[in-house]
Amino acid sequence: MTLADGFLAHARELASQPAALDEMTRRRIVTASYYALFHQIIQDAADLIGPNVSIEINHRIQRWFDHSAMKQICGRFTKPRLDQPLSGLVGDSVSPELETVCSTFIELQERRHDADYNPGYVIAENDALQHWASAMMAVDAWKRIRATSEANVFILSLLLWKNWEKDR
Amino acid sequence: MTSRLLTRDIISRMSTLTASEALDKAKAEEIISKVELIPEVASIDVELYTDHTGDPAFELTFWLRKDVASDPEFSLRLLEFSRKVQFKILHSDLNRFPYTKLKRAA
Repeated sequence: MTLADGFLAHARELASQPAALDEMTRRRIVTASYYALFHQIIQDAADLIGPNVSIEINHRIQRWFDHSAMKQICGRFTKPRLDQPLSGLVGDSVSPELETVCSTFIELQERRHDADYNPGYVIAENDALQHWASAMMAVDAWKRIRATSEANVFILSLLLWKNWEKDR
Repeated sequence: MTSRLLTRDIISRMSTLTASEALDKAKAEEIISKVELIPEVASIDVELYTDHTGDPAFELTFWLRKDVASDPEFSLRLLEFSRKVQFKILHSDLNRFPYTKLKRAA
């Protein structure tokens, strides 16, 4: 089982409790949901970038990704009309699947931050379940498009966005 | 002219917000007012928000009716609806990410 699958399964297990979910369980669902999507993306990214590296190097590559930079790049991919250099690389807009992945990533990262660090964060049970459902849908959407050109550009942008200026 | 007066009225009522913030909020509220709610959602509130990275954003609060159940099936339906609302904001000219939050009416 991959780390991404493990986090998704963990969130599902927490969400499937027969009794009402307590606050800590709701927070853990949000956190696990975010990490499921995060690890799915960086795992596929490392596989794309280093198809011939050992598993140890693959894991080290996965550590290159920065949460905050990933959020900023996701924001660039959710605009109604992409700006340069993205529009020149993937067209005026991205597929609904990639848009789902990017918007879910941004939303879950914010809520993960609340769930882990904000003592005043109040999360409704429906909210926790919805975050889990959104992670499942986003992972599913990502798996449908991860072998496409736009997904390749997205992955490379996550690491190489600082070089975008050279492409103008 | 009507639009300008409306904007001025909104700004005067929101003295703590800058003109640009008040306009953003008004635009988001206008977009949401055109959305047909699903039966389980009583209303949607819009607030200006700053996320944990410091980016200006919106927080959309979906007020659920108090008798709504917490089950995975409903969560999926609600997710589809909240996504629809979220994308209406994302596809507009507003430059704030619309975070969503659910609350149950008292």
